[in-house]
Amino acid sequence: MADDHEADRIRAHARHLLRDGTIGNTLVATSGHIDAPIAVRAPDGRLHSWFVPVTVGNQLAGFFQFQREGTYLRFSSFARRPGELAGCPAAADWLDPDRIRTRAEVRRRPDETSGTPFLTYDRTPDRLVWAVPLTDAHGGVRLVFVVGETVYAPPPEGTYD
Amino acid sequence: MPISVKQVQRLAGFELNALRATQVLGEEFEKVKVPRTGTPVYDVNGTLLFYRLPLRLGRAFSGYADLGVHEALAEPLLAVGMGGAWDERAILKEAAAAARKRRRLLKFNSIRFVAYSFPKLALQYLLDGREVLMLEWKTWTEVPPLASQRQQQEPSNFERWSLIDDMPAEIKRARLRSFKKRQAIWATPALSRLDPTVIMKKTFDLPKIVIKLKDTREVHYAPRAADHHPCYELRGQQTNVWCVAASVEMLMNFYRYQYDQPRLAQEMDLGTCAVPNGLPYGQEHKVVDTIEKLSSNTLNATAIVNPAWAVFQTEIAANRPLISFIPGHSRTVAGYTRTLIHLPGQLPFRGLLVYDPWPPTDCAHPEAGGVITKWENFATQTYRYAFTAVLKHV
Repeated sequence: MADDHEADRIRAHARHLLRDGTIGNTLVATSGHIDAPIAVRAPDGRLHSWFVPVTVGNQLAGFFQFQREGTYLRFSSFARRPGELAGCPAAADWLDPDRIRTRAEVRRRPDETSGTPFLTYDRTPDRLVWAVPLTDAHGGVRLVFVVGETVYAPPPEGTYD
Repeated sequence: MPISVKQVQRLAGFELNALRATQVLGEEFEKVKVPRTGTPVYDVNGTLLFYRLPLRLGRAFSGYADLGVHEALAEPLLAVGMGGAWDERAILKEAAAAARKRRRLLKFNSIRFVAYSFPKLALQYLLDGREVLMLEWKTWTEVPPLASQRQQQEPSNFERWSLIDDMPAEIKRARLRSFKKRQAIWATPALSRLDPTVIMKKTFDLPKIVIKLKDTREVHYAPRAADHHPCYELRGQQTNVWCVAASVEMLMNFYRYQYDQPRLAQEMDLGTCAVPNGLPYGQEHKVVDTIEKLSSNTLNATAIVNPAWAVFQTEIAANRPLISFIPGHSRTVAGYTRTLIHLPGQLPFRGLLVYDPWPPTDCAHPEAGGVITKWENFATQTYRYAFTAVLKHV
């Protein structure tokens, strides 16, 4: 419940920033829809931040990211040119857990079952990914990361990726 | 010379409107009227320090603004409070009752507000101009007299001291200069016809009035921003571990060098599209080496460890993009913004325009991937390295 209340507050804050013209461009300010915030979990499962999608039609035009207590982190746009949606991914690629789970299954071994995806990050909060847990017959769990159409196993530490 | 009571409303209005224009003050301040004057608050030595102006908008909003009139305060606007009404009359009534409760036979003929330990407030009870009692506001505890042999160091928790008398001369001079500079901004002829007595976001949105409330720059085709468009392009990383290759590609593209990521990966030992790898920690020098080699040493690259804000600001002002390493990831920076006006005690907002190669694409679709972040809150990120590239001239 506390998270729900927080999510409502974050969503209102994002809406205000967008409509006020402080952040974003004319296209997202006039046509963008602020979707429900999604919790970004740290690798240890704690709430790290909030991902607030901004969609135009069925495309993901950009997103806000706020720290858990509401501090603004960033607004990122997929659009390569202001006012154009070219290059923006399908919203479902980022927001539909079923599609994300299905995508992760290309990496599933025969004895594994896929679990519920959760939004997290690959080492740094700039690298947002969906993590899909894959559980084997002995109860062992490994994660597969999904970001857009890219699916990969968590890389080792110690590199700039 | 301290500002006069006639100037108070106008000066407060400009300060509050500027904060509204930069959205430091939120929508709740919209259309709030700035009163002509407020409650005078004095230093312990009797000097007028500031006015507390009550701010109201019907029942929707109540708060206050403290407007400094003494130059030693460095800036006119000291504080903005919200969520509680400032009712001078009610406080004075309460103060009179508190004094009589403490000393039934106390005689006084005036009460004034004193910043007995700035910004803590007290009520000073005077009889023919001489203090007979001082009580701390709200707790109504008696404030001890000024210590005769007071050390000019940090005051204790409950001690009377003078902001003006205790301030070292050189600090006072610097603050005076700062205060006058701020006054001069609002005294410019272009603002003379402006009415700042109501707080509105659009107060400064008038033709021929340009007030610099923020400083924003992006890299352009050429250094003259006035007649050249922003000129920078996003490249998505073509594998999930090629953020460095994509960052170097973006920076080199700015200088019209066309090297694709597989070629850059080859140069930095990052593998191939089919079997890629990231750049290991400790091999950051490869960024410098690659930029210099592939530009035939036309670009002079430098790695800066733990870069401060000034590094980004200076480079962008010189129309040069940078590569920015954060833990585990690399991106490029092609612009910045910073607010030039903010509430006292608050840090100004500083943001970077980041061309981030994440999320990845693949080698078959080099035109996809990445995001443009406008703005990344500089205060919330850890910057490990910045790589600058300077074009050598003959």
